Amino acid sequence: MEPLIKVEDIRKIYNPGENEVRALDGISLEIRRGEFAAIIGHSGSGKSTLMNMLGCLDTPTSGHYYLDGKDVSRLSDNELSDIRNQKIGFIFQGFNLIPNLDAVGNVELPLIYRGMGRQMRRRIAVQALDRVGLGKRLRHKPGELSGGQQQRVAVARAIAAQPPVILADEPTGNLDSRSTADIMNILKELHRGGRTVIVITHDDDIARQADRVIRIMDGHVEADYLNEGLSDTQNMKKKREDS
Amino acid sequence: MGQFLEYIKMALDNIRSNKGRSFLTMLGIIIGISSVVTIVSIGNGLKSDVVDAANEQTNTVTVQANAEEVTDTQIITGDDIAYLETAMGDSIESVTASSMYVGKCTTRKGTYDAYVTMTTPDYEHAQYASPLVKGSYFTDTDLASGNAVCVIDELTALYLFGNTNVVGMSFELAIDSGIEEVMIVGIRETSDDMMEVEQTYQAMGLGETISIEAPYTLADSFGVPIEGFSSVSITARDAESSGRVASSAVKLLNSRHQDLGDNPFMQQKPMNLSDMLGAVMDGVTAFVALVAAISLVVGGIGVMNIMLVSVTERTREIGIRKALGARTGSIIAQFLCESAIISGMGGVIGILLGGGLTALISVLEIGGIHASLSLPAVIIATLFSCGVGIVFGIYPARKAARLSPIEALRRM
Ligand SMILES: Nc1ncnc2c1ncn2[C@@H]1O[C@H](COP(=O)(O)OP(=O)(O)OP(=O)(O)O)[C@@H](O)[C@H]1O
Ligand SMILES: [Mg+2]
Repeated sequence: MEPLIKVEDIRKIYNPGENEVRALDGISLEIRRGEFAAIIGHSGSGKSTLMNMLGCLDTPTSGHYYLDGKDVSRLSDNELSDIRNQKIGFIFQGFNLIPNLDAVGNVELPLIYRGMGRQMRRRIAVQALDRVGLGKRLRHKPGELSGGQQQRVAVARAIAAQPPVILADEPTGNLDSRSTADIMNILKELHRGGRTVIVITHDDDIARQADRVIRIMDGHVEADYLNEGLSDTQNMKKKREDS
Repeated sequence: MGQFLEYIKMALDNIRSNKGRSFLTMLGIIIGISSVVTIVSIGNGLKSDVVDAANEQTNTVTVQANAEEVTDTQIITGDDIAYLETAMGDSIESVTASSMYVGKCTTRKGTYDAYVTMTTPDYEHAQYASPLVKGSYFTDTDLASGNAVCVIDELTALYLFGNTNVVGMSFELAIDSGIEEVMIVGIRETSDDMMEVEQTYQAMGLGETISIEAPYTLADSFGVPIEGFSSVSITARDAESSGRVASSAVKLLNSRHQDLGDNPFMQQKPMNLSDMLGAVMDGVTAFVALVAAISLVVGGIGVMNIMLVSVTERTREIGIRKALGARTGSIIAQFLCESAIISGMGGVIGILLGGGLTALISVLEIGGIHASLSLPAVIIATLFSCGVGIVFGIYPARKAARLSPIEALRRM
């Protein structure tokens, strides 16, 4: 079966010429449907840059990215918007909430662009906020929420539309251990529900909870391995790969 | 459509959360629209006042010699006038013709320059003429025998004699080389308006205005006989029939003067005063409204300015929206709605303000103006203000929509 995500020798070069930065320097990888992968690496190694590519927010300087078999570089801006809207739930490194919209308003944004009716939208947004434990903060604006709460609004927004792919860039970066566990549980739950989850993290604990770990270093894939104590699905995959 | 309502709601939310700034942005539009509405309404009022005034006296028409057909235009004779009078009978009130002479008149008080109108007895009721207050007008008999009689107005009487009880008195009138002793048979009223004008003339040192009306046959006595008039004024019974009266008078005169050509006579170019004044008023109003419209354009540029600032300020928001799946069109629609609503609201407030001002001017009769709100002006102002918002919103909206999501997100 075709992998959901297939990246071929992707490069991203900033300021070509004098002091150029090779944020991604020839990355190739495949991620299957339903995988739960962690991307780790030092600060500045290119994790976020890679994630932005996978989320169709950024385009590579060279190389190819196939999402669901489609070459993303051939798609128009509006087609990319539609993919981001329908296929991808993005949790940004810096929340990226709109300050003058309340929690519900932020969570329902992707649903608006799906053309969903108001009532339906509200219901789904409230459910999603409830799920991340913010059922009592529906009307609060980002400025009236703690960092961890804002992070959870961002999570709610990513999961509300039930996209098949969840991309999370340090979703627990600002959280205490308790909230970190909450969010990891949500991500694991989504994964169990059949979604593909990719998480960037500094935290080895979190990386250990994923099925697969991809370590990035200076824009290369330095290591790509399956975790010990694999889940059933991964055992199956492993078997398939072995055979 | 549902989507469209979403954009309107987004726009309203944003306008609400930036109340002060939104209002200041509207201010330009408010001022522009309210001044356009007020000015056009005042223009409207002035125009209808002027046109009403000009329309009062349109049952008098003038038939003149057609200068393109005849070389000598003094071709309407006394017989022609008498003929018109009888031929047209009841459909007209009067037929007059007149010729102006400049002469000098002398009384015990002194000698003055005088304007002498040599005319027919019907001139008593000529257009714009004041009523007689003493004596009577000269008659057909006076005309037939060329009697040396005249009618003057009160002001002239005061100048010549120092009082207005002068019916029956005589003075010496000199025209060209002829001198005649002329008797006053009637006095016309001098209107207050005329008095005022005269006082201004006097103050400017322009000298006295002596005006004398006499039967045109009297010109013979001065050695400057009137062979004919170049035009004749006909007063119809009512304004509606004046057109018909004019054309039948032209026909009658043409048939009496076939020797001069096919159409020696024509109706004087209907120098329709009301149309002309109306057009002038329209022109003035249009000009001032144009100036006000320029202020609208300036207002529109204000809207564009603020929208550009808003796009820059909200780059991150735009990035977030695009990252979450907003298409280019969605962002354009959101920003266009915002600028259209801002200027549309400005337009509505401007119309209310302009309407209020108009009503105030009408009620207080400032400058005696009866301003009346012009519906077309209101409609055009509304459309224009929304149009301003859309036109001047397009550039910022496109700028917003074109941002690459990742660039926009990275901007802090
Ligand atoms: N717009 C840009 N212009 C120039 N260089 C950039 C730009 N964006 C990222 N970089 C560089 O690319 C490299 C990779 O950045 P990236 O954000 O992917 O790092 P990261 O692995 O996510 O780091 P962190 O763990 O701190 O989030 C860095 O060296 C960074 O300075
Ligand atoms: Mg990063």
